[in-house]
Amino acid sequence: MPRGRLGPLIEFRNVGFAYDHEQVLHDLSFEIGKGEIVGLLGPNGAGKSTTIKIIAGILAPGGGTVRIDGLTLPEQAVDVKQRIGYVPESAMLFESLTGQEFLELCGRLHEVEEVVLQHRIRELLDVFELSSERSSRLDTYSKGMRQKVLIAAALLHNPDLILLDEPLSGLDVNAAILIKDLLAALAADGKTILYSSHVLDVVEKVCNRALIIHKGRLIAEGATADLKASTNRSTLEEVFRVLTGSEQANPGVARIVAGLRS
Amino acid sequence: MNAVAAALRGPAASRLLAGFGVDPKRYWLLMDLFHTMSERGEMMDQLGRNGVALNTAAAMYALLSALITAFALLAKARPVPYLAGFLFFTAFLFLAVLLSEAGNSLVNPVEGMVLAHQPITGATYTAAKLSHLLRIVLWLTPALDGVPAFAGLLLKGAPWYYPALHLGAAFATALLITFVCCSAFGWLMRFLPAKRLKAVGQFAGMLPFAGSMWMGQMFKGFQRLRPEQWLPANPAARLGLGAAVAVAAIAVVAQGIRSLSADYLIRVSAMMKGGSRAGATVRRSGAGAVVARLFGGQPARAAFAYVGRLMLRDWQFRRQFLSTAAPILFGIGSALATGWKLDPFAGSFSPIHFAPHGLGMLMIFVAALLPFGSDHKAAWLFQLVPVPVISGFAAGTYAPMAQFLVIAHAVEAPFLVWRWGAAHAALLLAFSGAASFVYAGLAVRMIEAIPFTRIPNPQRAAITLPILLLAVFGIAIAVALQHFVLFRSPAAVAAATVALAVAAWYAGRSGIRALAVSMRYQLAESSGESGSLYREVDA
Repeated sequence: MPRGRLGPLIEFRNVGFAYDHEQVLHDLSFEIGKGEIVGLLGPNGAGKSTTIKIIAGILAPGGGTVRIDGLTLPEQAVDVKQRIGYVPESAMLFESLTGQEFLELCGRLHEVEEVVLQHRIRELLDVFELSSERSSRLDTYSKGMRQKVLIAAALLHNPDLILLDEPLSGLDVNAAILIKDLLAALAADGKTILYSSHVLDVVEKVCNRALIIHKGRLIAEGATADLKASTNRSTLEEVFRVLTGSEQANPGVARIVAGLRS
Repeated sequence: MNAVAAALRGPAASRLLAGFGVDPKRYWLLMDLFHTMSERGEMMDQLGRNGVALNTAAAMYALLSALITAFALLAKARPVPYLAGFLFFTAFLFLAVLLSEAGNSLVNPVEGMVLAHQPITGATYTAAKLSHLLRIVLWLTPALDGVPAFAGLLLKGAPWYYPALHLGAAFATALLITFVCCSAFGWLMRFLPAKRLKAVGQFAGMLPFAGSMWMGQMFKGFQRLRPEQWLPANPAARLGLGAAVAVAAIAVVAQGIRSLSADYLIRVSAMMKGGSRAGATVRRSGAGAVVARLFGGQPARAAFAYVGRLMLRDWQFRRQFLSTAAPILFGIGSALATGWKLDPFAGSFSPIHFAPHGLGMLMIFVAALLPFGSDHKAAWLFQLVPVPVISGFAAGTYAPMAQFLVIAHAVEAPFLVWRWGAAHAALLLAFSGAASFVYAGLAVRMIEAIPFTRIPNPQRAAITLPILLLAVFGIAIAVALQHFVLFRSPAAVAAATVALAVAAWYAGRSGIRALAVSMRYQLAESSGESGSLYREVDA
């Protein structure tokens, strides 16, 4: 498999994307270096999931250039997919498979050697406290358990780049702490992580840089400390509210309550 | 069997697959995955992966072809037209089945969203997706042509090797049709935006029936071109021209199949987000209020709006309906287009006699397909519905069918009044309305679950076509009775209309009750409670 050239792991240059006639991304540009752990922030409909899907080779960009480790998308999508781990926003799984079978499928599709694969599956299921459920069908798993399976599937083949779209969704506090620690350890081990989330305090703790997009445009990027300093705010959530224009309490809230009373 | 499986996964077969750009290792991983998912009921919407559906369809087709064989033998057909007729029949049915199947496989890849980020090439993925088409060919070709092939030995002048010749030609025809269907979708994928593919895919199954409707006109058009004047007179030149056309056709088909493999998994996400936006605008009419008043309050209105809108928008329903009901739709269109000019009371035969039965069959097909939908996972919503509401909901489910029949007859009315006069038109419309409402009452009883809450079942779609072909015999008898017995006297028609209206009233009422019981049973079953309890309560 060809190795990429030295430089940023993710290059996203002037990328546009539209669903039907609705433009979702407008000339979006950013770079992410190797070993970085970057938060991708933005309100609902900002284009976060679309951005991650383009990087994962699931969607073809409508314009601009996307390179992952020197490989161009969508032309070299299969090669890119070999080296990414992706946790999608919604827990889409083959419900009739067991946890063990699903992980085996994902590992084999990435050509992980069988002995190594079985060892990793055992380890991951054990750490995620799913060992006792390994032979149960996924349609019997809770939301949090399904999310753990997705995270395990994304790590099985030891990818260089990990894309996480709301990875803590449905996880209990202990599991969320485990994932946060795991991400920090993976980043320390040289993995590059792009982490999309609405939970800003997690991004603040886990990521060393943040990209904030709004209506498909990059409105801020930088180290989380720099973002707070430049906007004179003490938390990333306050920074986010300033940048996305949602500082005031939403008047719609009062209208809903009034409507329910009537 | 194990030896065959081992050979298929062996080095020779792997080299062959690799020669076509297919990664053998991932191909077999996907094949095993699809097999497991089908066995466990997660991937039920494809005929080639559903053994029960395939066997049922094979049995129905075998019965149908045995009937046709019997007619052909009684008519003392000669071997060449006999073979040609069955090959045409085989090609037509495979075109109808495989276009629909290939469309469902390729433009509705429900598993694609889970696999979209996996390192699988387009060629590997499409090869695994389309392998089940070959299984359909292997099952249905002997079913369709087995009996006629061996019965062909009874034909005068048939050679001793006729069965082998017939079956060989049938398999070749079926394979050719398979490649043509795959190629057609390859070309579509090449030129259509991914988000439009799903919308186009649902019409694919209609094409053979549309083609058969205009086959006569196309043939006449070809004759008008006077081919004998511009085709070369020399037989060798004609052969050369034929060979050139064949080579060009093969190249077109091959290029179409190649197009299937290009960046397929990149298009999956856009395809799944695509589909029909038909009727997605919010319209308010007084019909909902009328249904609420006549059929059972707000629950009936809810069902009327839900069923009416999803019938237009649910991709799986539309796809199965358009591919299976296409012959009826064209039949009704044809009966109305020619029949309105001929007054059935005037003594001559009028094709309008077919219209109420066509409309009725349409209702039965709707009822057979209504429980199945793309968004069947949203069925949890109905678990929250209070049980007493279900009766109104069942009545509201019947309402869109009733509305359709009323509108269909209202549209016919001005044409018939203008052509036949008010009395004859009113009598025919009343008769037709009453007869079609009897079908609707029987149809609503056949709806076995809350609409759009079950995973699509290809068995329904697969057996509807042979059932329809068999039903044609029954309809022909009913139409003959109408023409030769009833429509000789307006009084007889009026009496039959009254009897049918009474039957329609009772069929509708009891059908709605039966549907309500089915819905309650389904809810009880899915919530883990005793279904029989609800049956007892309802009784």
